[in-house]
Amino acid sequence: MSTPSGSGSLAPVYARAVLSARRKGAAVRSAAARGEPVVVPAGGVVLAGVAVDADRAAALARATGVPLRPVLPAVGPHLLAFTAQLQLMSAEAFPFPLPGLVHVTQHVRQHRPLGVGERAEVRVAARGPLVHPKGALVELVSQVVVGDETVWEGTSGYLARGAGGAVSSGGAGGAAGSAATDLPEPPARTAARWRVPAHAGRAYAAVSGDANPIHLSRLAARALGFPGAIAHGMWTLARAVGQVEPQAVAAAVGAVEVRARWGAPLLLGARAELCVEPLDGRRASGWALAVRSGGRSGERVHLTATAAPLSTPS
Amino acid sequence: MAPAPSPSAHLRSAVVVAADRTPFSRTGRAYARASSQDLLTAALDGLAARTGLAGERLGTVVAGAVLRHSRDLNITREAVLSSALAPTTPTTDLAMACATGLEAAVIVSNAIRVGQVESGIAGGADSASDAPLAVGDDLRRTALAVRGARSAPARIRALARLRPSALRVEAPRNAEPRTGLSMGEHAALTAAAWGVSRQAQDALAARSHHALARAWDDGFFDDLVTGYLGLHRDDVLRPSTSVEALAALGPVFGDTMTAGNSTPLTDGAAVVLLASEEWAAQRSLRPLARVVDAESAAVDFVTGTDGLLTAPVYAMPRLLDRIGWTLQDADVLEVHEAFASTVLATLAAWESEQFCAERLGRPALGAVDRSRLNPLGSSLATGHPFAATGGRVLATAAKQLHQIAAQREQQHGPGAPKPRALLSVCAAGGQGVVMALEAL
Repeated sequence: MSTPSGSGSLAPVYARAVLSARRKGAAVRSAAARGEPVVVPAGGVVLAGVAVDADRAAALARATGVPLRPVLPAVGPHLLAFTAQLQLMSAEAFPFPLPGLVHVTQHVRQHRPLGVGERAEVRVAARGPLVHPKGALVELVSQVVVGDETVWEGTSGYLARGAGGAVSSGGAGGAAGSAATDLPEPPARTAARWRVPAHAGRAYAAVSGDANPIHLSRLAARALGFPGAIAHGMWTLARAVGQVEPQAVAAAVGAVEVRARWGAPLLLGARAELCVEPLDGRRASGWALAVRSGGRSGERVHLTATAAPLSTPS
Repeated sequence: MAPAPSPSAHLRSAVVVAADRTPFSRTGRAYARASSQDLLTAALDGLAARTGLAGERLGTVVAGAVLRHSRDLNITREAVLSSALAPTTPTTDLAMACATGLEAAVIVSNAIRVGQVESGIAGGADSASDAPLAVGDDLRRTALAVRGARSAPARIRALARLRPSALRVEAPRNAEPRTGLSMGEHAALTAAAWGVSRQAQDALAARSHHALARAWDDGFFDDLVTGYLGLHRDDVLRPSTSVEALAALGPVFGDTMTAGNSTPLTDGAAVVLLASEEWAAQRSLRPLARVVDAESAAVDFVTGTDGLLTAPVYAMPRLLDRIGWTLQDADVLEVHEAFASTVLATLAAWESEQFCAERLGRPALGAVDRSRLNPLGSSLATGHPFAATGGRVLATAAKQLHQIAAQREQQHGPGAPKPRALLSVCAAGGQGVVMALEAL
């Protein structure tokens, strides 16, 4: 089984998604107009025997400014999950058009770090749609399994803007109550100043295979309503978590939990500040993170996140 | 007359507690994408995991890299910040060419012995795969002038001085700036001066590979090495090599030195945890050996008076005389194999009555029992990531002493003489560091 090491291998998936986008969009709108809920497919996608090899791990480390370790950073296994997510979301049975979906939340439960080159099975299934103030939220629930050990779990929230009418009010999903939205106020203590590299979009696209043109081209991003090309949300999260990961991992022996919610888009080339504060005022409790910009007060919040020792499931 | 007690006799002990290193890898292979900082971080994390030091503040970390990018100006600090060690652990970057790792251990153990710190890590990392390239001086000076120019015409004038020949990229060279000779060429001069034979070099190289392979098979490195990026054993190692196979290689330096009896460029990192005995006892960590003393030396290779890699020839007798040991007291003699010929020339110098009388002003140090020389192989088989070698040598020697002491105690009961080790590492620039260890 090959692993995608660049955008090339996922290009056919994108092509299919773009071709079906207009038809899917029309179907969602007409369903919403009729007040009929859309349903996400019950089945999932399973990728067996996949791994992040040393070359790709190195590219991730260089793109996000973290060291190349023998194990992946806590958000690293999302690379594997994303490939499966893309297959699921571009499938014919998936109701929402891929180009309009925005990654708005992410929740990671890492039970132990995944080794570089370690073979795993990735399972992804869709949940929802859930009610969201700006539309409909679909959650993609991912598991990375080695043998019969669940090593890593991720829940990615994707927003379909304006599709709120297509969510059944009392339906299966209910209101968006995912763990990723359970976040403290964004911290305000500046820890680092960022200048988002102009090539960050291309670098992360090459690592992740997420070749959405809004990360690659200013013109394409403008056509889709952004002021310029924007950073991948997972790039922003990986870099932010990287600032505290040695401390979080040291406290939790590799069992860590990351919650994230993205806000305003972060433009490539922009300046921003990474704010870091200990949760509950104690380093051992983990860290609250925020990426802010816009003057001294940092009124634009691009990312709110926490990185903390993994809590046992309730 | 008995030798005067060592002036350091009243100091407390610094002990080797634990160590960790990455497997060493031939340049451009397993670690082709890793930087020196990545490697050093991996070794620190391995040590922290092995000793339960995650989140702990240590007294100091002293380490370095020989090949360094301009961004690596604080490489040890950056590696500690990326590691599981507490971010409140202070660090020092150190550079002493190939002796960096062992000199780091000298500095850390001295700080422990005088009571300045309770614990510290010494080590180093090098990546020849990720070696820095620099632009030529002409281009660099022009770029600096353009940056400093205050107006557009001034910038253009500065740029106009640039000649096409300036667009050269300079790779770090394994050559001495004052002689223009590579390290191998220098070693070949020394080998010729001492008449070191090709057969003797190949025999030493074959023995190094076989001894290291046996040590790996015996699990000796199980608690000294943590795998990195899929590599779990030194990949320079060739267990099946033989004197015959080595004899088939053509010379690359002088008439006798080949790729088989010289060390290849290598990537890797090694770190050693040193501490006071009290600190180790508080954490239930069992020390391996005590650092007795150390000595460094430098030679005048610029005029050809001495060979580039022969400084340990001078350092060792000074150390032995200060602590009242003989060369034959060493149960383990670890002599870094920069080249097989370097080890053999060093031994020949210590055996030569004439050389020792004329140059050292003392009787010859004498011959050593070859079974005590690099008993588990050395750099010819492990490879030699420059700044990492000192940590590898120190950890290997300390653990051997610990094992020999345990065997002796089993055979002779408590009170058996404590095994001793002598370590020697030569370095570019005509320098060298030697160290004495004793089992506890």
